[in-house]
Amino acid sequence: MAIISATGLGYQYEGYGEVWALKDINLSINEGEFVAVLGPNGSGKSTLAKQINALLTPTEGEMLLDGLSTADPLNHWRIRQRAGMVFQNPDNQIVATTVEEDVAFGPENLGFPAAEIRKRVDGALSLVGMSAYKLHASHLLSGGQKQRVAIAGVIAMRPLCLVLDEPTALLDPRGRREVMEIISRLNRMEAITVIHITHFMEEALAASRVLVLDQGRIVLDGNPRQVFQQHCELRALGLDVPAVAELVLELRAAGQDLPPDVMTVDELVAKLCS
Amino acid sequence: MLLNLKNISYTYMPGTPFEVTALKNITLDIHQGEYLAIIGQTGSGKSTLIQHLNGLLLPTTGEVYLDGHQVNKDKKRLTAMRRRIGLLFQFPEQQLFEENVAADVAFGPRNLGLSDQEIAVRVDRALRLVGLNPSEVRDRSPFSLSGGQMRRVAMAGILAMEPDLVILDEPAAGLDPRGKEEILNRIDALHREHKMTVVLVSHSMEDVASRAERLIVLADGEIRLAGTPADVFQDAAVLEELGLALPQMTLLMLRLRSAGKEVPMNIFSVEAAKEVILQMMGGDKS
Repeated sequence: MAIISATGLGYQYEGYGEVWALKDINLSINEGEFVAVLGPNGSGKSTLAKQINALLTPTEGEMLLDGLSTADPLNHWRIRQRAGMVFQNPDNQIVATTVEEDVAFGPENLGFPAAEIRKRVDGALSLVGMSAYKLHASHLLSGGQKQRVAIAGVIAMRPLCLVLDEPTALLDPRGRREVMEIISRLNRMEAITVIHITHFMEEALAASRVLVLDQGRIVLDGNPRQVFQQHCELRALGLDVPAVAELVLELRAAGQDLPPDVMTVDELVAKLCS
Repeated sequence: MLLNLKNISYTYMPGTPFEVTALKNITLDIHQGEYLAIIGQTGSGKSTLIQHLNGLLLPTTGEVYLDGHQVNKDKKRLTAMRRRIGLLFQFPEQQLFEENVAADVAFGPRNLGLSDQEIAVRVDRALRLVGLNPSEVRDRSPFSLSGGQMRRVAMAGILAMEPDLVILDEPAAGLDPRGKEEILNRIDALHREHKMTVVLVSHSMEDVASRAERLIVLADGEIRLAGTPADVFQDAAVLEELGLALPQMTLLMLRLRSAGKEVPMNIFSVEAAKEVILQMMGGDKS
């Protein structure tokens, strides 16, 4: 069943004249999908993310989340409980002095009894592997740990869908790996639908589906192996393909007999050494 | 020699329960005209270190020399140092504030007390150095530009000071692949064509491997590895332990070696990897 469904969606920011930040978006995302969203700066990725949980609402067309239209303000509360957002900068998302208080912020605002809050906070921290840190000061964590706490804060709301807007952009390699492992695990084990905006092509390989945006429109939509074989289109948009995919393209052009959908180091080593 | 740090240590909030030693006994020479990159995990001391390079922080113990003169105990020399060494912080576009691009870039030179004419010349020159057309952007509000352009305006503000050394903290963070490529290519050109001394802080192993001449790897406030990219990326095990990643192509070489292939490790780019593999496959057939 579609959890996110956009029909003819268009959006204009006020004061930017006739420029469409999003235009003609028709999109259906099913429960349990892991969707990576790519596109150059200014292509509409973040605007799309904000449409999903009704931080922005369509200028034209319609966005439904779990069947609820974002155009109706009466739905916003329920929509935001179902679709949680994580942003780029971990320091802007910390609201409390200790890790567990930070994660409890959402459920507390939902007005749950203390025992239920406790259960949700402990469960969420365990899912992101941060239980051992629950009494730690949140501002002293590493970037990757802060993002995991931010994700736990969203998970504690029991959302159906997690929208992440470049959550790894400011992290070091270890932090990036930590966050990617958590996102994949939540998708696989908890069946949470994931929308992951990123500039790292390697991260998009973890997704089951890749959307590419350009000037407010969806220009490519497919599984990562299909999308990353469109080298020319991606380059024209100023995007990369994963380094291994680029190497495979070069090797094929030089006459090597390799399948075009080899994308990772391990796959290529297996092919070359077979 | 442009700059030497000699046995530098730095402690935040000494004598309090929050005391943290961020740098431990660092000795580092920066040579005129070189391109040095600093890598390390979040919290390894990179930001603390670069603030010692232009005198924003003074070492708790140890000495800083510029052109052979000690500066960390000499107020006059310290002021001169801050003018000669430009530091571009992370997300510098957040520090733009003037009503037009020219005024923003002119802010630094104006504080040097230069004439209006000299300032105008420097502003145009700096904008061209970062790949912006002065007549197109001069009168525009910096806030009407794209993220990548705003960052280049901020960089022009540093270059208009005509520094001997420019330090850039994650200049490509958060930009899309094209914006990233553009800004890093600009920095390469400053180094190559204008002989600028460059210190780059980055999380991207790909970027530093193919661009910098020398790398230092910081961990827990100490220099753990130093040398050319080829030297540093030999130590895959140490990098792994420090939570840093190998460039994808170097990782590929490492895996091919584990599978019994004889390949070199100093491979950082797709082009270089292609040559190695073509040779390897050709060799297999004969």
